[in-house]
Amino acid sequence: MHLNKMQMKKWGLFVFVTLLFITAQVGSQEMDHSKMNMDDTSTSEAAPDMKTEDNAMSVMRGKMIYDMSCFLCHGKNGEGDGPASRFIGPYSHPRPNRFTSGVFKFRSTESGELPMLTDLMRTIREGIPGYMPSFRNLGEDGIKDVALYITEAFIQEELPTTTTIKYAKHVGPYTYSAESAWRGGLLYKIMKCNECHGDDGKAGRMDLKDDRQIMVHPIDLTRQETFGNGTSHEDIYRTIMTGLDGTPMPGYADSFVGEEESAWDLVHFILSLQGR
Amino acid sequence: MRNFPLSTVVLLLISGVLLPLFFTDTAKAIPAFARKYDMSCTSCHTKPPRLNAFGEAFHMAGYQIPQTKEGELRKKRQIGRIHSEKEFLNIFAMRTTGNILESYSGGKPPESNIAFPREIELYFAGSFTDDISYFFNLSNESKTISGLENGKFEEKAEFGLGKEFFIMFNLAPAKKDMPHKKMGRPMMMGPMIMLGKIDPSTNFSYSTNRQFIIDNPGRVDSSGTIQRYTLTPYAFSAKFFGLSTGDGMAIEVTKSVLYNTPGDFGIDTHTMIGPFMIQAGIMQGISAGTSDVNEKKDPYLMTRMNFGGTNYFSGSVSGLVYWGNDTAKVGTELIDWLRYGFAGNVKYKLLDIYGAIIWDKISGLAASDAAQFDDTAMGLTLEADLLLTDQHLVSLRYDHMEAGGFNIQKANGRVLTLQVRKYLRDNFALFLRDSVNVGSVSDNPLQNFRNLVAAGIDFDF
Ligand code: HEC
Ligand code: HEC
Repeated sequence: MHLNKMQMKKWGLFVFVTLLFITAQVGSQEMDHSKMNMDDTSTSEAAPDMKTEDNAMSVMRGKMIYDMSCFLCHGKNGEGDGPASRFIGPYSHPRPNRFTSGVFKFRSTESGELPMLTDLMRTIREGIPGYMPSFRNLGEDGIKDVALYITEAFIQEELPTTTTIKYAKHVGPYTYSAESAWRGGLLYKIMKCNECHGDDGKAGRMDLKDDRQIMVHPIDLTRQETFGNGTSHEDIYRTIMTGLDGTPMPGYADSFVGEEESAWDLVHFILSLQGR
Repeated sequence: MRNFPLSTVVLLLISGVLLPLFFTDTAKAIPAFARKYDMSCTSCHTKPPRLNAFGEAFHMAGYQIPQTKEGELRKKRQIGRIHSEKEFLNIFAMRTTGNILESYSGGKPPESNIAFPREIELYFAGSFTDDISYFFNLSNESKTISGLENGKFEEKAEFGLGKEFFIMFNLAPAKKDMPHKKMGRPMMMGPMIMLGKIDPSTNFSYSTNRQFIIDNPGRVDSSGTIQRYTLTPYAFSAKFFGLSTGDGMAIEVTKSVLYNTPGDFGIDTHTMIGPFMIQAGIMQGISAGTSDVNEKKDPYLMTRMNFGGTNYFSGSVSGLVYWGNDTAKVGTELIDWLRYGFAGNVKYKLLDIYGAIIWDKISGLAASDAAQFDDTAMGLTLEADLLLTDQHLVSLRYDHMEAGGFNIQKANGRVLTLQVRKYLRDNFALFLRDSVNVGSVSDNPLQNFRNLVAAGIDFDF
């Protein structure tokens, strides 16, 4: 095999172009195939009122995103058993969520309820520091597509569109102030947050398990970068009211009935722990 | 183990006890991409540098989260204190690895060394635009073996633009240019083009540059004669005794070359379509640099199929053909070198098993050499890693080489290595390793030891 320089160049170019061509061809076939699959398993039956053309398309696009990216952690069947999942939480919480279980950590709904579509979308958009990348670059359409796919294929129930939890206004004596944070400090002890999070918010109980019986440590409240449910004032308010289902972190909406504003005191106390 | 010198044992113990004390209190550091995306190392790695299924997908997509376009660097979320980090840290990473102690026994002469970790590498990686990413690696490797003329070698420090530096283009049309209803795009990734000093095998089921069991340094005597070859994964190695590069520099038999080079000049393209990948490219040749003497290029083709995705299970198989076109020399004659083989990988929960078998065939020998030169060779490397606890990774590797080359020089190699790594942090490990030559021991540089014990560190920032 002793080609001269010119021959070599032509030959190389030929191989290259051929390959690109083959690749493109196989690509389009592969697509038809997955389209067929979608028609077969017409998942839209699960939720009859979503049966519009647009929704079906949306779910189909969502499946494609899911099958290229999310499945690596969450598993092809939404069981949280993707090939990379064990490495994320080999011996401790969290592991990729098991969508089929119906247990969701990040909700704006009552403890024990399913999340709203917007909750799923928020998690996908923002990601979870340390564990799941932000998918904001999918764009809002893509994020919605994949959230719909998760709902139809794995949760298989209609998601709530409202919440009974009252999101109190952040006004008057309940705007951020030293007094509010001080009242929050009292609440922190009265409501026994310190039993899990420690008096200083740092030290945590070491004997807790999540509902998969994996060890889970209460989050260090002084380090906002570890918060999975968001770090804005509103996010922390939501965390306290709804709790994180599947973990020992309870929801406190019931304790604040009629005086939801006081929950802001607790939020401000946590912010003050972080020097914010 | 009988000849194991006492001093080494003592040092081993000391390092095992003292080093952890120094390092357990350092702040938690996370390497570049982890910093950039706010992820723990183990989102992408079994433990660095080995990739898990998500890491592989991230890598194939051109250092991007599959299905999303880059931009994260510019639009990065500001979460808490992390945003005060310099953006520089989002593109920068460092790895220091190497033996601190090593001790050979059973060969001639028995030898023990205390060393500073031999390899320090700096990486800069990220993306210029949504479709163009870059990877630069600056490295300093002390006492590597490099070839000289007339079959001689020398040990020298190598500093500079290291194993790899390249630019990667994603030729897939941007999603925003696609009609929203068109379905064709999402199942496909790429084509991606890598240009520069590249390691084509990064997309193979067993890639050259991601070793838990790092190469063990070889040894050259003062006259330039090699006494012991570097211990590398044999499947990837040159395997022929008596070869030199196009410009006449001796090639170490265990040097990883051709498709399995840790980095040489070339152009590579790869495309993912559903579970399949097709990769094709052209390399300059072994250590040919930017100006190949013979001006001929080496084309190659690799296909890979991924499977799994439920039950904590995934895997892949790959097949490879590489044509080394006048790529090396035997004596003064340029020869052609065909390399082909397979690699496979299965991952189940915290167990990761992978291997490669590679065959080599040389043609175009001078008539005078043909009779005394074995023109075929084979190498096999099989490894299993298990993350035993959060902190302990156990690896077992078997290397097998049926060497080719000049009959009077050649010898076969069989080595079994067991290694335990202790992770003091996600990115800082101590290791203790034992490699046993399970074949015959002789003066041949491939066989010149019975047992090798080494301890060292692997630190990624
Ligand atoms: C690198 C691994 C990884 C990838 C990729 C990934 N996730 Fe996750 N995801 C996780 C982990 C880990 C959790 C659980 C984190 C926790 O419980 O704190 C999670 C949680 C979630 C949740 C929140 C569940 C809850 O309890 O409220 C949603 C929704 C979700 N993922 C959707 C997605 C979607 C959609 C994709 C793809 C676009 C995706 N994930 C890709 C790792 C991943
Ligand atoms: C029974 C133990 C327990 C009690 C009581 C408890 N927590 Fe938690 N909390 C946890 C655990 C465990 C986590 C971490 C869950 C995880 O890793 O996802 C957590 C997480 C949090 C987080 C971080 C959420 C995030 O975004 O990741 C906040 C904020 C928090 N708790 C506030 C409170 C407050 C305020 C109280 C008292 C009103 C309280 N917790 C009471 C166990 C507890």
